[in-house]
Amino acid sequence: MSPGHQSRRPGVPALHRFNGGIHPPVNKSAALSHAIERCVLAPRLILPLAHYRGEMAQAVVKAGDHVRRGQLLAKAGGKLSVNMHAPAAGQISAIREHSFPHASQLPVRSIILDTFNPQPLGPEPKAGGHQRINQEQILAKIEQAGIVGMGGAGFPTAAKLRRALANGVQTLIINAAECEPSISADEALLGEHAEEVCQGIAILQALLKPDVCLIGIEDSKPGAIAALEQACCNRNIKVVVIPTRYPSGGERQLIKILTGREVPSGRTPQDIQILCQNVSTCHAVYQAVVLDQPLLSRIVTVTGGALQRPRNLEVPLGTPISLLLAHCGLPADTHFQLVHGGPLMGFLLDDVDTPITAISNCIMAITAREHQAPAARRACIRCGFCAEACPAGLLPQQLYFAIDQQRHDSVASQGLFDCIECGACDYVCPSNIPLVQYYRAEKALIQDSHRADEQAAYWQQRFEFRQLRVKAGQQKQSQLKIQQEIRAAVARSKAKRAQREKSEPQQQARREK
Amino acid sequence: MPAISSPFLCGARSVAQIMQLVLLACLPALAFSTWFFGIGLLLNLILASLTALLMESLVCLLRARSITFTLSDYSVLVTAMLLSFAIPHGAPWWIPVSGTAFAVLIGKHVYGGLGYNLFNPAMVGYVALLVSFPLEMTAWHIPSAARTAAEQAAPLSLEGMLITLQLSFPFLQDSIGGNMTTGADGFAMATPLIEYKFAAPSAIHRAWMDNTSPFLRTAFARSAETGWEWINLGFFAGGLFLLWQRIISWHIPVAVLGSLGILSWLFYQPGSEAVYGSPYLHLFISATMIGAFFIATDPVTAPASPRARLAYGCLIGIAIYTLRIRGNYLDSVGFAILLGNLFAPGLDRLLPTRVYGKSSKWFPLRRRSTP
Repeated sequence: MSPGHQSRRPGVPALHRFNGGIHPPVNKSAALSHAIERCVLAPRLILPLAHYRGEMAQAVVKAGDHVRRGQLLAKAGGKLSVNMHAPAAGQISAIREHSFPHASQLPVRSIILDTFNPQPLGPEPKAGGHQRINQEQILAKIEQAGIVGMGGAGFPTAAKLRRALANGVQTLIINAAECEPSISADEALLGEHAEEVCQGIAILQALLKPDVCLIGIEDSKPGAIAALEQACCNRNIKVVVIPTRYPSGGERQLIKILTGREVPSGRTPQDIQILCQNVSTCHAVYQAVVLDQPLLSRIVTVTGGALQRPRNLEVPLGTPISLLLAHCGLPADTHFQLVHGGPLMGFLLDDVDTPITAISNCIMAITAREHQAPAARRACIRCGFCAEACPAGLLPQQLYFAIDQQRHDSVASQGLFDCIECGACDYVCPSNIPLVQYYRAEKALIQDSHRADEQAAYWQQRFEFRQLRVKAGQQKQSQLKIQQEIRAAVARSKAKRAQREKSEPQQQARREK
Repeated sequence: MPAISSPFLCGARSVAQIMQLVLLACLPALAFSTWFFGIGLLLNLILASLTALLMESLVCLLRARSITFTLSDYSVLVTAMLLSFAIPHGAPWWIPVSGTAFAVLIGKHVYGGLGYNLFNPAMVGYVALLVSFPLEMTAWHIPSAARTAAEQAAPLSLEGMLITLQLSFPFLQDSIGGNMTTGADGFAMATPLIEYKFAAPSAIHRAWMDNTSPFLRTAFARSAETGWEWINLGFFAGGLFLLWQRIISWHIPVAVLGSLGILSWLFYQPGSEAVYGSPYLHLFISATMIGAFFIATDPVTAPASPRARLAYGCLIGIAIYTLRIRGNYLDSVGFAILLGNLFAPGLDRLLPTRVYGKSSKWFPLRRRSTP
């Protein structure tokens, strides 16, 4: 039986279609044609304390401390924050602001770790039996390890799992689609470590006890599919091969493809008893639960026209990007732009020493030739290509008009916040209108004005409360005054009566006389 | 200037490429028209294109825009192409010139240029011409249409070309080869729809009424009647090309042709005196195909959401049929499309796409699936 037949084993559900989508050139073979390589250990690692969601982590070390590999450097600073560990042994040289991979490129507080060379030999990680431990222990291990969603969103995995446990999980979906062009980190991981990923999935199954567990993977990855099917054949995990169409790896799109259901607008998949996890995250779960090893490294695709040897690298977290570029052969004096993430959803970075974080699945050094300056922008001709491409079912051109005309209420009601910023509309626009830039700016604007409204409402409430208080105080005072006056009047009349009663017998006596 | 945020890939055709493909898709119909009716359309096209380029350059000068940048979107040439198909062959030169000038100035640039016009510029120009010069706009001078075989001049013979040239440029009548347009009666060829409407008992009409498909019988006769069918087939082929190239979506042509076809099929009574024309006549022997595939699908003036496109197409189909049967003008595609244009922005709001994860009356979200 061919692998293709195996993928349609009984019990594998029929596939569904999401609206829209595009077929950009895949561009993955350059990095995928080689095995995963280990990146050399950087002399200096940068570990940002900030996360993409939630609060900053709290450093538990200080400058000058010696740390060993895997030692806790910072502990979670809140519910949506995670622990951080030392990816290598070394000495903390400082805790200061450093560039951070975010579209804003704002620096954040980071732990700077000068690594020892050579690394002292630590104990070999050994596989322990996770079957004997209970749900709470699994969760605790995942939480301890500081795992976040490694597909791009960076949401703390333990928090997501707790939420899913509270709601119950019907379908566990493992996202191996990796639909964005140029990125092949997950595919490379599956090609070499499919068994470990499946063990990670099995741990999630044991934890969540879903009715079904599906792995969604695009049909452009035959190697990874074969490896997955081999690893899954004795497990209750179904590998579902889906057509290659960007953005099939978007969480909501993948759920639609695999289950035919849509996540209601403004809700999360957990609300409809579905949980999505990325394959890299599953690998991290395996490492945390089976090997007791926290999240210390990840696989990064390093590619782009400026590089001589595009590769998938296993990189310790905190490694400066410049080291990756050097590893992949960046000729001196090359003019390039640095992109963090893929060509459709990534963002530009200026500082080549920005560190790799848990969500850094791809680093691209693109040349001017590869990324041609888009031809001059024209007026929208309403061709509707954007509506045909939009995976969220929006009318991007109508959104654009509404934003352009500053009809903010209309923008929100047309579903701006259902936009996943996948860039499909931008990709197909014949007039070269940077639609996604408009949506990002408008989202920020609306959120800002909401925040301002909330704040205004808060201050108004406080002001009104104060007015009430003042008024109440005045009333109380005037009441007190009235009461005092009444009391005084009563006292006066009492005194008068007492006087009268005192004088009455005398008068009587006088009359009797 | 490089993009400041993602995406860093661009995979679409440019506006210019889209317009070039539309022009390319017009070529079969252009070829058939020339083969059957002579160089009238080519003369119209040359005049219209030159006027269009000139007028747009003028507007760019007035509005201080880059002329090369604006002209390089090719949209004004598409307007000229579509308009020249609607102008009778052998119309005097000032008809295509004034019509195109009106289309470009009033139909397009008064609104702000490409992308901002509410109405299809070519149809604005056509309707303006039709109401201003009804006589010139309804007389189709075609060399081969002379009723007697002896008088016929082959459309592409030197004589035929000279006749067309002299009709287009009346001042040439004395300078080149003497006046050949005498007996203009003999050259006046009404479109089949005119025949159908005003000369009901004519032979052509009867043939159309009795045979649902005279085309198969007379397809290669190279006569004026089959010429119209070939031109419509040319537009049909061009439309399929545009569909294949994904320049247009299927919604509008299918809705226009479907609604028109169904209506004409419902009301068609073969053999009866109360004739409304057969579906074949409505679909293949009039301006329906160019309207459905090339003009109604003009992106700027059509809606973008698929449901709105279907409604828009049906609206146009119904308007074409009603105006053809009840209207005063010979063909109604131009009016019907302008009418549809009026509703396009509203339809997009009324029938938007369904947003992922949002329930609507027609598309409720699926409840829990059973594992």
